[in-house]
Amino acid sequence: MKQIMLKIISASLVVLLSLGDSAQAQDERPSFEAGPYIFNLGLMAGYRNITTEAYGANPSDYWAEQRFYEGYGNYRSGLTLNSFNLYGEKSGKEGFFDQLFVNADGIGDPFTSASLRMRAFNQYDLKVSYRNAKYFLNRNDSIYTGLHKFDMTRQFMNASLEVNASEDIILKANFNSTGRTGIFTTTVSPFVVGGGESGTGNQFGGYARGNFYWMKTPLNDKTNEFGLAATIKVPTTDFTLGGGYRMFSQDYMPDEINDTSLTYYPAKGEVNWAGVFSGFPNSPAKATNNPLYSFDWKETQESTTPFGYLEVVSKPIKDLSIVANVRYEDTKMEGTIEGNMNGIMARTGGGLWNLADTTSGHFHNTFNTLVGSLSATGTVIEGLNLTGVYRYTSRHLESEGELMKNVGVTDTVTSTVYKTLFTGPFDNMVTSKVTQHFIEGFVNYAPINMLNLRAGVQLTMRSPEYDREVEGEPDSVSNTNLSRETQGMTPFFSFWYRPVRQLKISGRFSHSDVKVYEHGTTTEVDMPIRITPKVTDKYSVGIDADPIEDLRISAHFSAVKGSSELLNMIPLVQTFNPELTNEMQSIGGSIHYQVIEQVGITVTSEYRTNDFAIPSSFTRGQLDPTPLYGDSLTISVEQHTKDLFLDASVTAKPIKALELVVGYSMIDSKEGSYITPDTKTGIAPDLIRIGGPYTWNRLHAQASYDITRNIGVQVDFQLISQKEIQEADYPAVVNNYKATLIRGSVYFHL
Amino acid sequence: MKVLIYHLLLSAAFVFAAGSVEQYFGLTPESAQAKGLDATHSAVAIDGAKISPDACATCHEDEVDSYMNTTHAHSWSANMNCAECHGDATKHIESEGAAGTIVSMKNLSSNEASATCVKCHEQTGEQSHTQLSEHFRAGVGCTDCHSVHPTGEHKAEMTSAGKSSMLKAKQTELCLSCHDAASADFNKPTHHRMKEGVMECSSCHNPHGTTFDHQLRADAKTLCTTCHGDKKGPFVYEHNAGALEDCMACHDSHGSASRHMLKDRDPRTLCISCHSKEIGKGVPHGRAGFSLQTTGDCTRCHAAIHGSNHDEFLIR
Repeated sequence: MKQIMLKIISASLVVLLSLGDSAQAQDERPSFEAGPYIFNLGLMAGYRNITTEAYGANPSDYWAEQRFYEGYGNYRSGLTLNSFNLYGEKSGKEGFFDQLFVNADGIGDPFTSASLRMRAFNQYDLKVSYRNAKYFLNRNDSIYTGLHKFDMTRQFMNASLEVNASEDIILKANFNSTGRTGIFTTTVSPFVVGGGESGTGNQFGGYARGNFYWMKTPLNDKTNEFGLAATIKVPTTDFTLGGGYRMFSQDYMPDEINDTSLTYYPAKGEVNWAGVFSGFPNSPAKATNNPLYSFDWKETQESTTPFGYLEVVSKPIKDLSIVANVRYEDTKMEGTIEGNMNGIMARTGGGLWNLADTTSGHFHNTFNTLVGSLSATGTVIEGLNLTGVYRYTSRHLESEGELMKNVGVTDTVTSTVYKTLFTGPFDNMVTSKVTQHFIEGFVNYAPINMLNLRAGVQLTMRSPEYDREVEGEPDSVSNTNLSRETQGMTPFFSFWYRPVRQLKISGRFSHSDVKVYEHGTTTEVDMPIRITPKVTDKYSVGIDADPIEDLRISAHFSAVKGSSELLNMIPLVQTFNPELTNEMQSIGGSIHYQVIEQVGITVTSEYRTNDFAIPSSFTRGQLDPTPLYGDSLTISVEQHTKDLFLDASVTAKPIKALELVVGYSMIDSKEGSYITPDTKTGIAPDLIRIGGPYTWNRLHAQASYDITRNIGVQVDFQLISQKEIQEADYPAVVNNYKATLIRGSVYFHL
Repeated sequence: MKVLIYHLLLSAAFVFAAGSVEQYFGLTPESAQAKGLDATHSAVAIDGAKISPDACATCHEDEVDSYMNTTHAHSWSANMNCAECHGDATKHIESEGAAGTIVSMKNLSSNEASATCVKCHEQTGEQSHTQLSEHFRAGVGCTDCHSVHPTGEHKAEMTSAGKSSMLKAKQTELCLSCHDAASADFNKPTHHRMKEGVMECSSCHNPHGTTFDHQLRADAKTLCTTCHGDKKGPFVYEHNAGALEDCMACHDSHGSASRHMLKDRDPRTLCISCHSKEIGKGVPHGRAGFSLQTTGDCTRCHAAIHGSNHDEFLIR
């Protein structure tokens, strides 16, 4: 029996290979005629099987499950339509299109796309595309992150029609749409009715953190945009005038979830992070006391944005090009908030209170943006060009909101009203005006064909002016900080040199220096966003070579060195080192070698290091007369990563009908983020890491074989693994998985 | 390696000894005409400066055949012919195709080849900032990505969307073939779905150049919120990181090992980078007033991290 099977398989292979050899003779894919058109049709479909193995300390967490892998890798098990491609063109002079493209990919997969393009040259060009992307996550229902799972689909739709009204006038209409559908499951912030807004202080918040509860929230944001534009060509100049209308809408309506599927709650008498967080190492019992009895919350947001733009591209004389454009948008957003909730909160001195909260509010926001730019490039003498760019951006926001709160508590036993905590409106108002100027000038000099030099300078100026009022009171601290003015100057130089056609050397250097001032003064202060360094040097050099035929080599090195002097980090309980540092080095390269006509090898690799640090030390307890823990702590807020990326592949075509590809990719990421861990007896450790060093490996192979001119088969194989390395004392977040993929497909060409 | 060194030395010696790069780089239309290769020297009946594709197809059938499937062949310019890019063909015809008698893009430097293209293309919006582009700055030219006549590739290849722009390969593959670091980023656990085909590099970047950094089509916040409309606002209370910088203050745009493409694997580190003392009021906060958030992500409570319409602390 075994021998018979072997004979059948051998005979089949012989037949297939001989058919494949006959396919070698086919220089062209098949086509068919339909009316006045010739079409090529390609269709590939197959069956794919995925197996996933999750392992580690907490396999239900984050990535380590098949559904997330399917999303991450864009795969699922089952029948798939890998691709559908139809191309048509006019065979003669008749017909209403010159070219037609119909493409679809991933039907049934988490990522699906379909597009249509039809055009008649010099008459019209119609494009329609639709894409959707499914994202899903289902991780352990831990309190650490507040996000338990999501399952959503983002949709994109773009359509445009371009019509050549005449040789000098082109009209364009377009429609763009994007939005999300799906559900998020999260913890609800205990501060929804806590803190200053409700007047309940931390009492409800603290209790809710110890007995947190879950919400599911439908996602339903939608943006639709319509646009019209006309391009008019006159001698030496093109004018494009356009405009449109954009609409956005979103409702936010979370629903309370009872703990039927969610398991994480603190146990009585045990340390729980929530309790520690709020200053109570041992939390009260969870029991059945979800802190909410009832919850009803709805927010609505709707905005409209008319916009218009003008672009002028001109070449008034042979050696001068000018581009100018201006765009204006005017957004108006209206929103409402309505909420009712009843829950329980911890009573000072023990016991519980019932809490009743009603909320209503509305807001009105207007946001105007004006962006304009002018650039000009001219040739001074042959080989010497001068370019200047100016860009102006202005954003003006006016927001106004009113929130009505009515909060009261009653005794849980007697149901008597203990007191009304708060009732009244909160009026909030924010205005901000941000103007930015960007100026760039550079000279490009090519003294000889093989050498190009460029040098220039960029200037940036930003002047924000914030005025925030909360409940009628100016927020002086925020207003001052947000209104910081920045001025940056970045001289730069770049070159490339190509002594022979087979060799190119290139390089670039820039030095950026940003000064930050209190608004309207010359007093220097820290950057408003501290991650961005004040002083940054960037270097890069590269070499590309084709030393012998069929061999291409490139190598590059780049580095960034940034730092900021911290001027106003006030040593109180914190002592910061005087300098923030942010550095990156990257070295990489690629080799492509066509060993013989049928076999090629490509290898790409990069090694990159990133270091970011705000070294600081804290002395715990200094704020309190009697330190709670009576010790000190040095903390270094740092991130160090060393990433090695390698991608290698071999392609071979032993016979014309057979194509083989084998590849290997890997990322080895070492180190990570650090806030110095701190473990004290009796209290929870400072949990420092979410994610960690990891390795990622992917082995893939593909074989395609043209059985005949019309039919072929393809087999894909992938093995993927990710391993996170547990270095920190945070075992709950090690996310490891292995996955294999095998897919057999058949493709047709008609 | 020996072969490489030998070849480099030989090439360099040749170039410098000859004192002319044109022998190596070929000719631009302008330099060809400067050398007298124009129509006035033509000794044949065909006008080499206006030669039709049909005439060229006599010898270059494959090239012309593939060219005829491209937009160029149907250009709005009635005068579009092979000589528009390859220069006057008179000498080429006279010498029956002798090397060096016609402009060959293969023998031009990238910027020289680009100079041929931008003669017509610099006046369109998409390519109007070519001179500003990082690609142009680094000597990467039009023909490094586009093929005017994709010789040797079958017409069926045209069915891929990329071919309608005369790209040599699908756009994402093409870009990532040089941008290794970005390619690695798109392999990371959370990433924009570029390789999966949901987006293309040109969704955010214009490879031909813009006035914005990284050749972005607009400022980063405008671009990001084109798709992420729910983060666009305007909000009564914006997150200042996004308002003053842009989304890139916290997120990596290509891919990250962190959730939500955050720059940091521990989001608290990211928050604390700015929110420590002075800039934030009373943050980071934690146990006993001590300045370290000890558990959980900051967004566990500050859920409306991109902006809120009723809570200045972005709680909801």
